[in-house]
Amino acid sequence: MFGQQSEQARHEATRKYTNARMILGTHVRDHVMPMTNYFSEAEMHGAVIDEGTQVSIILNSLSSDFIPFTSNYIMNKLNYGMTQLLNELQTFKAISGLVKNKAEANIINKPNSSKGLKRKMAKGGNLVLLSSLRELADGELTLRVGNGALVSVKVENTYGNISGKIVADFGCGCGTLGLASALLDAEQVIGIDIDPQSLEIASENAVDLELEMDFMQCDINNLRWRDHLVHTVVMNPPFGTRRKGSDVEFLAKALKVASCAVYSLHKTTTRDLRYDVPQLYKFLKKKELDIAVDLWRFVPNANQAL
Amino acid sequence: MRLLTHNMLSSNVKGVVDGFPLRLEAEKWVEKEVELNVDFLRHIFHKIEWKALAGAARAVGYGELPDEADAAMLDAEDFLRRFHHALLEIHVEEGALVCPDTGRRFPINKGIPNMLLNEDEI
Repeated sequence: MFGQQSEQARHEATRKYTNARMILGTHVRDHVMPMTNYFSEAEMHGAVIDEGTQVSIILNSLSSDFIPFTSNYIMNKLNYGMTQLLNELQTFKAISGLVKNKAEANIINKPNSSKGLKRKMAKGGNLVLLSSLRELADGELTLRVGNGALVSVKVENTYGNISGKIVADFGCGCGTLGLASALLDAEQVIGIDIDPQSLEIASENAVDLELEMDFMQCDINNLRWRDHLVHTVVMNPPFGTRRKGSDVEFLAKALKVASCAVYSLHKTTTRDLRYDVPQLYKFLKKKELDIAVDLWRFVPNANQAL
Repeated sequence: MRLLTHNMLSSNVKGVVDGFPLRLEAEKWVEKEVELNVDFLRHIFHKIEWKALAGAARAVGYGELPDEADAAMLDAEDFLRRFHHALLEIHVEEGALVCPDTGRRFPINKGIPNMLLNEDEI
């Protein structure tokens, strides 16, 4: 089935990914992306390299500053796919840069904000835990959306709707938005999700980050709360892949219970999602994909003071 | 689950009109210290259903809350501390919430109440 030419091409691609070594100080993406191309090329010519092996090969080719990442990966028996690996590597890089350069400055300059994050950073411990909560002190969030892609969002906290308030995270998933709110000194954060596994991960994340967050397993549509006890609802509604119109139902419920504001993160193209998830995943493997996200802030009509 | 969360929640079973407060049956709970925020307490006091809070606090063995409370008490530091402790520092880990109207039990496991309904309850 595969002729000599194909065998040669396979050999060539294999040679490339075995010999590739990341140069210290270069961008990790610029190293990983060509490697995934070599894997694809070898596979195109008949090679079978399972994803775990690909991940191992990449981990072994990284520059020395990724040693903590690799040892954490092995020691905690993590199991990333390629897309997640690249995301985690980039986040690790961003965070370790932060720890070296910025964390100290933050502690000195802004003694009153986001204690939790700094405490964690000052420890310099298991940095990967922070992977979806990058640089929160400055109001920037890196979110993991449904398909594992990372999206950065600037959250404006100028309205004062989080700090000292009761915040509910609707459809909290692994808890990113709720934990971010806790970092921004929300008095009480309640994460609600229908999926028990998501809630378990979210509560582990809270423990790892030394943050307080309450959780509840409930379908948002059947949630019955006394109105206006919660100040602010944050949410990242289902991205249209599960059920059409869920965004709107979440929003209606959020506006009913929140007294101050609703922050909702919507994918701009929710209404005409063109790729189903497996296709999107393959697509992500090949090249960078920017997902446009709108962060909407809603204020209920009968907005009460504070 | 903190008692603040309990204070917000009503039974969501079909046909239930009031459903508040859910009766708390606590088997295991923990206490975690939280910084006292007087402004928050003064503000939230008006939104709290006091009887429900005092009842839930008793269910976890904390009998220090008065049966009735009014805003004038917020000037006393002692009262603020008790209010703060009951509202934010007690976490129910294992137990159940029971609908006052139907007796339906919602289990609490690992601190997470499960409010999912069966199809015939929606």
